[in-house]
Amino acid sequence: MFSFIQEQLAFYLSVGIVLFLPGYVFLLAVFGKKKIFGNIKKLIISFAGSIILIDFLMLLLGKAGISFTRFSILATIGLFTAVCLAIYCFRKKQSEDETQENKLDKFSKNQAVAIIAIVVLTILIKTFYLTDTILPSSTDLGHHMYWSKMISETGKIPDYVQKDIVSQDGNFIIGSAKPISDFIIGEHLIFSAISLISGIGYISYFPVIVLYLINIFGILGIFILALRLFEKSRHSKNIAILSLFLIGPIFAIAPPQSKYTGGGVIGNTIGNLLLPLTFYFYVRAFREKNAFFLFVGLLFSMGLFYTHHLTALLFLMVFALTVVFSLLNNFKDIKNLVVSWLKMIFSAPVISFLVFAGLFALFVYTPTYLQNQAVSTVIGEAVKQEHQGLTLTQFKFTVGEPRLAFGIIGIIILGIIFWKHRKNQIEYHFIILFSWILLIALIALKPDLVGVSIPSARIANYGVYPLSILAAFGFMYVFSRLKNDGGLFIKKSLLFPALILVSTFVIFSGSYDNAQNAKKTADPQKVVETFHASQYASARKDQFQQILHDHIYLTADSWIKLFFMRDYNFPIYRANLDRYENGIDRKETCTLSMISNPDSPESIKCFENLKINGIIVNKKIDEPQFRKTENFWQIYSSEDVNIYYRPQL
Amino acid sequence: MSTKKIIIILIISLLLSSIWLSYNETRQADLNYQKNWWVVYFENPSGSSLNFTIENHSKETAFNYKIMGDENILEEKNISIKNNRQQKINIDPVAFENIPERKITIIITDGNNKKEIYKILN
Repeated sequence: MFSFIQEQLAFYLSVGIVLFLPGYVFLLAVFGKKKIFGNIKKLIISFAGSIILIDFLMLLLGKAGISFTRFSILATIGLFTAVCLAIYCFRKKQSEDETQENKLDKFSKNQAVAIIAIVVLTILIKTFYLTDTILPSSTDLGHHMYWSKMISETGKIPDYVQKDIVSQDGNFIIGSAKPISDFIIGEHLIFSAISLISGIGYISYFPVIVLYLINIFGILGIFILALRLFEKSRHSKNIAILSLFLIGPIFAIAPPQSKYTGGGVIGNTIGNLLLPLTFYFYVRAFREKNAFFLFVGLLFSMGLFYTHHLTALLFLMVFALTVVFSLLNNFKDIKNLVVSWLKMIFSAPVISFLVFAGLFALFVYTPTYLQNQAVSTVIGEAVKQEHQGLTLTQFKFTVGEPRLAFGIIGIIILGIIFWKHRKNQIEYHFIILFSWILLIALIALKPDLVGVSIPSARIANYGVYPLSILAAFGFMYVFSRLKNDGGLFIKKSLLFPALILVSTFVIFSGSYDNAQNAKKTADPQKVVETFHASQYASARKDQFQQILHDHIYLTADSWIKLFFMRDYNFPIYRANLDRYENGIDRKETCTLSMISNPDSPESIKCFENLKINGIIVNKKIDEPQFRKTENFWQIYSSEDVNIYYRPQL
Repeated sequence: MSTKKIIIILIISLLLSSIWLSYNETRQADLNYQKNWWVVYFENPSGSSLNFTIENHSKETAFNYKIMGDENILEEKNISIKNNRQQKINIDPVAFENIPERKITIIITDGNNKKEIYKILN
């Protein structure tokens, strides 16, 4: 128990140091003593900013040739903190600036109670789900943690490479290391930093809890974005609270929420935190014509590019569309608009940031997907079936029926308001929300129109964020209008029952979705059996030249490589069957054949060519074919896992 | 209401939730907690050594092992292994040096379940 308490203290301390301190002191340095942000915003922005800043600090450290250790990371954060505080001390003589922010940061008692109730309920539901999935077992998380562990063990920025099976002169060999574009450095560095500082191992609760915190802060990010987008509305706080409700406790488990957290979908989860906050800063920059907001917005955009390419691509497209719509919206006064933007762009903070970003990308670290020209793989016609678009029904279930219904109402009403006021001012809130949901809907439903090839369901998951804000606006607008102008469409006496009816529909849909997704996933016993078998093999690694394991029926199999740390593709594995059938993912069938039919001539050739002498499989599924042959020894047997040894014949 | 109160409640809720999740993970990762399994393995996978270990994470404590040379029982013994304990069984290589059988199978039962490991020696 004492060691658990000690470990917990180390964990929370390292979370504070890695995921709060850098962002907080950075805000102090950039904005000085001005009351630019309320307390909630400061907390959320500090958290998200820390993720980006830790990435950049560690990349600089790596470039300088300094090994990542507990000391070097703490010293770097300490130095960064000292520099930021020195700048803050220099700036604090400036006068305090009372802004609109103070009004936005004050909630009535009822509103505060609603926020607390929503947040606590969200945390309770997510905790309930994660209790069963907290033991690390998901495939994606296993893949990611391999790289984070690699960073901790080597103290260096990793080369994202793997060795695949290739055919050469009629034989199979493990080929040379080839770059992987699926992983981005920003997905791994924060985990390495926390593990190095706290000393907690990767096969533990900490990766899922860090993702869970990122998910919760992402939800709160939507809250502060909604508050900012509708700052001119007298209902801004209620819209923000309703957005929080629509993104928090209902549909709390389905992707991209806790399913992504437990499933280790790191890039998306971080992207879903950074994207709303990036929009937040751009909205403030353009509305308040403040170069410092643009500076931080650009920093957050850069963070996206170093963390998740899909979210970064979405951001780029939304941003481009927003700029186009803004210019069209203000076409008569386009010159003044462009001049005001250029003034911000050619300001000292923005220019210095652009120089920094350029130098950083050129000389410090270029994201792997740019180096490998992987961008070309997402541009063009969708080849894979799962990239070819969803039906409207699939889209509806992905984003949640009530969110879609009220979201559509919200966008129509906003569109009407936008049209009425189009000559007076730029309605950035409408333009951003419209561009955001339009692009998501197009890519998810009709990817060919946009010319991108991305998993359609994954892109549809992004829709829950703008739709939550739009649905909250739609809901608030309809009921506030009915309340004020009641009698036009509905009798005032029917308003309250109508509200109850609609709320019941929303809550029921969201809760039903939670219940459907709350099914137990991995059985802890099966997970620990896989880990035990991995430990057995890794303790005797000198006796295994190459190992093959199964992915289809073995629980938590992607974590096996963390016991060896020899290569991302060590042990090699039999993938899901469709991977061999689509002709894209797996170009060899050795891994399939060696487990499915180990005594076939093809398998014997594969075993001999690849020097595989260890095979880890699910006992209940794959034992029979190994028992039939005399080419294997059964050297390990538990309830669910068998290990076979193939002696040199 | 001050936003500080909202933040304090948020942080406390997240802290309690994280501690609960950590505590649960620690229990789920425990080889014994709410689990019922045992495992048998050769100490040396690659060589001709037949030394093996039974690791018990089940409620059963009485185990029986048989060393079979093809269909013949070469050795049989009852052993007791407590929960969360393991027992290494060393096989005297001399005893099996001159046997004609090639496939040496070690069958372990706990009364209900049976597991086996084998080597096919030249």
